[in-house]
Amino acid sequence: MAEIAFRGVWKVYGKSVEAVKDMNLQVKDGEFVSLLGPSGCGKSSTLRMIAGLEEITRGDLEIGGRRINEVEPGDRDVAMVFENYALFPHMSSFDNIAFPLTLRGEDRGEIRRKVEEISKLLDLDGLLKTLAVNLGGGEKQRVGIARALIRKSSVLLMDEPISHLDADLRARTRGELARLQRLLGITTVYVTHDQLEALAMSDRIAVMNLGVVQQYGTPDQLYNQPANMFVARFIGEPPMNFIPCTLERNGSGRVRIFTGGRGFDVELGGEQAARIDPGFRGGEVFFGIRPIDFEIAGGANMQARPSSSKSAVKAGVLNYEAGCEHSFLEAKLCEYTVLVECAPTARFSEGDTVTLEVAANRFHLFDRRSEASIMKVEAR
Amino acid sequence: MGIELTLEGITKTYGKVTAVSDLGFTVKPGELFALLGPSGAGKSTTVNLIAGIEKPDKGEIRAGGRSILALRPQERDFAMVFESYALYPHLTVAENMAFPLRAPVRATRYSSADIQKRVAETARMLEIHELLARYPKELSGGQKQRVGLGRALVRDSQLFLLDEPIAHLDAKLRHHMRGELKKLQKKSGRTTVLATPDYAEVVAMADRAAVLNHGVSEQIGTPIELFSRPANVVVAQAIGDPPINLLNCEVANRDGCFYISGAGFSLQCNDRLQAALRHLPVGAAASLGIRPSEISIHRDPAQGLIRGEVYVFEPLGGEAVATVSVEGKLVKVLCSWSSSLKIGDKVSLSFDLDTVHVFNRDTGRALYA
Repeated sequence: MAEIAFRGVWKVYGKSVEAVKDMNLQVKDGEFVSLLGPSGCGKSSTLRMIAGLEEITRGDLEIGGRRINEVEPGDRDVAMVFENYALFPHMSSFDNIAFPLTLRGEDRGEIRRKVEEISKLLDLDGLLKTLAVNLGGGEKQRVGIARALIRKSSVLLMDEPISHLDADLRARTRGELARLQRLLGITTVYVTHDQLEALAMSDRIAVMNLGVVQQYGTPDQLYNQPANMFVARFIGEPPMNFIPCTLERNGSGRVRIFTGGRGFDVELGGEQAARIDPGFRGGEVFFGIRPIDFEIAGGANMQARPSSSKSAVKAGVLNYEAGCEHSFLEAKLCEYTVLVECAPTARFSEGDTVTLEVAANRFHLFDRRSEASIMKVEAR
Repeated sequence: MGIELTLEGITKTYGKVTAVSDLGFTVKPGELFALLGPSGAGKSTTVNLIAGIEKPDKGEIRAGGRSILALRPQERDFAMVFESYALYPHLTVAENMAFPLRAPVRATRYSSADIQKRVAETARMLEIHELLARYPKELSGGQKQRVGLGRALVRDSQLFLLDEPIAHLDAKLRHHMRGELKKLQKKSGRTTVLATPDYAEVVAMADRAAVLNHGVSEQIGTPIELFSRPANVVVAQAIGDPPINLLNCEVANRDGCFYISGAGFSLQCNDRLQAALRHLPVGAAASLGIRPSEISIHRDPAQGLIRGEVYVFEPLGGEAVATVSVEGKLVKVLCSWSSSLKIGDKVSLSFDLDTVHVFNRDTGRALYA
C-alpha cells in the first residue's frame, strides 16, 4: 500500500521564505493527485519533499504509513519524471530505460524482459535502438516515463512532464498518461500549472497558492463548488465572471442579491436561498457565474421576452466572437463586462440586447472581504 | 482606407529548405485575411516577405496595384506586430507607443497633441492606459504584447501585419482582444494580414483565410467554408479541437446503394454521400471524417452506429473528451462531463450522416456531390 500523508508539513527556505505552509493532505493508494497552481505556489517544493530532494522543515511526511522525513531518496520507493527528461543523450532508448536496473546489477535477461514489457505499454517497442538525442519531444518523454516505471516503485512523481510539448502532442500524451496510470494503479502525484491537464487526468486536485492548499477535492468539486475566488478563477477556461453585489436576507427566508446601480436584482426563495450558508447574514458579495452557465433568452433582432423570473437580466452585446465548437459574447451587464458562451450557430452583433438567464444551481457567491465561498457544500 | 494586397507565385527558399512555394492570394481592401498553419508552415516567412524583411526568389507582390518588391521595409510603411514584442527597453510604454509617430519620416505628420491623443486612445482600448509611465521590464508578457500592438495601432498605416499578436495573453484577455482587434480593424478599414496557429482566432476574427502547410496554400476561403467544406484532409484537420476523426473505410456498391465500411462499422450512405462517392475512382480507398463535436456517445452498445470501448475519459470543465477505441482505432468525442465514463466501458457512437466528410485516402482530397 502506498498512500501518502502530509501532516502539518512546512518548507521554509532560509529563515523566512515559506514555500509550503502547514500542509495536511492525503493521497490514497492508487490515486492520481495533481498539485495545481501558478509558479511560486509551492507545488514543486511539495513534490520534491516527497522525492527526498528537499528537506522537510517541519511536520511529518508518510508513505505507506512510514515516516520518511529522514529516509534517503533512493530508499523511498518513489520514481520521478522531470520536465527536462534528464535522459542520457548518447544512450539508446533501451539503455536509458534499463538504466535503473543495470545500476542495481539485475540479470540481463530479466532486464530485457522488463524493458520490453514496459516499452509495449508506452508504445516504444519500435524505438528501443534509437539514441535519445534522435528522439522527438514526446518520445523522449515516454522514455523518461518508462525509465521511471520500470523500477516498479510504489509512487510515481511527475513535475510538469508534458507542459512544453506542442498542443496536439500534449493533448494526446495527457490521455495516454491518464490511461496508463489507471491501468497500472500506481499512486501518482502530478505537478502542473495547467488547470485543463489537472481536470482531465486527476482523481483529486490540490489547488495551491502562496504555499497554502486552497482546496483539495475531485475535479467535479473544484469546478462546481469552488471554496474561494482563487479556485473559482483558476479552474475553468475562460474564467468565471464576478459581479460585485449586495446580499440581503429578509425575515421570510428569502434572499435578495443586487448591484448598486439598477439592472441586476435577483430574489431567491426556498431551495435557491437554502444553497447559501445560513451563517452568512448579509453584506458585500461577489456573484460568480461561468461563461458556459449563462442561458440566452432573447437574441438578435428579437424582442427580449418578458420574464417572470428575476434571475433574468438584460445585457448589451459589446462583441460577438464566432467559433466552431463554441461562440462567445462580451456583454455589458449593468456597468460590468461579462463573457457569455453560446452555441456556435448563434449569431449576434454589437449593440444587440440579450436577456441572460442564470439557472438556479449554476451561480456562486463569495464573501467580498474573505473571498471565501458562502455556498453550502453539497455532497457530490 | 485600406489597400489591396496581392501575392502571385511567391516562392522563398533558405538553402535547400523551401519555406513558401508558389503562394498566391489577394487580400481585398479593408479585409482581415488570416494565414493559418502550424509552426514551419510558412506563415512568418510570408509576413516577412510582405513587410520587405525578406525577398522572394520568385513571384510578385503588389500593394494598391503597384509592385512593392523594389521597396525597402520603411518605404512600404506597413505596421507590424511581432510575437516577440520588440519593445525599446529604455523607453516607457507611452514613449514606445509614440515612437513610430515621432520617426523622422513622419515628424511633420503628427503634432505633439495629436500624438498624445492617439497614444491615450489606443492605450485605453488595449487596457494599458494605467501603465503608460512604466518601462518594459516592469510589464508582464501579456502587457508587453499589448504595448507592441499599441505601437502598431497608433499609426495610420495602410496595411497591418500581425504575427501571432495575441498568442501570449491569458484566456479572458484573449477573448477580449479578439473582439477588440476585429472591431478596431473594421472601424479603421485597414487591410490586415494575421498569421496564427490558432484556428479559433481565425474563426473569430478573419474574413477569409489561407490554410498553409509546408509552405503551400491548401485552401483559401471564409472560416465557415474551411470548416464546413474543407478541400482536403489537411484543411479538415487544421480547424476544430479536438481535430476531426479520420477512419479508413472501403466503399461498396450493392444493388445501386453505396455502403461505407471499415473496422467496426458499416453505414448505408444517404443521397448526399452517395453523390459525393461517385467521384471516387473505382477501387480507390476512402476515409471518413467525423468531427468530435458531431458525435453522440451512448452507454447502450446497441443504440449507435459504431461500437467501441472507452480508452480514456477526460473532463475539461463544462465538457469532456471521451476517447473511444473502435477496433483499435481511437475516436475522440466531445461530450458532457456528466457522461462520466470509465476506461473499458462498452459504448456506441452515433452521428448525423449529413455532418460527415469523405476523402480520397490516396490524394487526401475531399469528395463532394
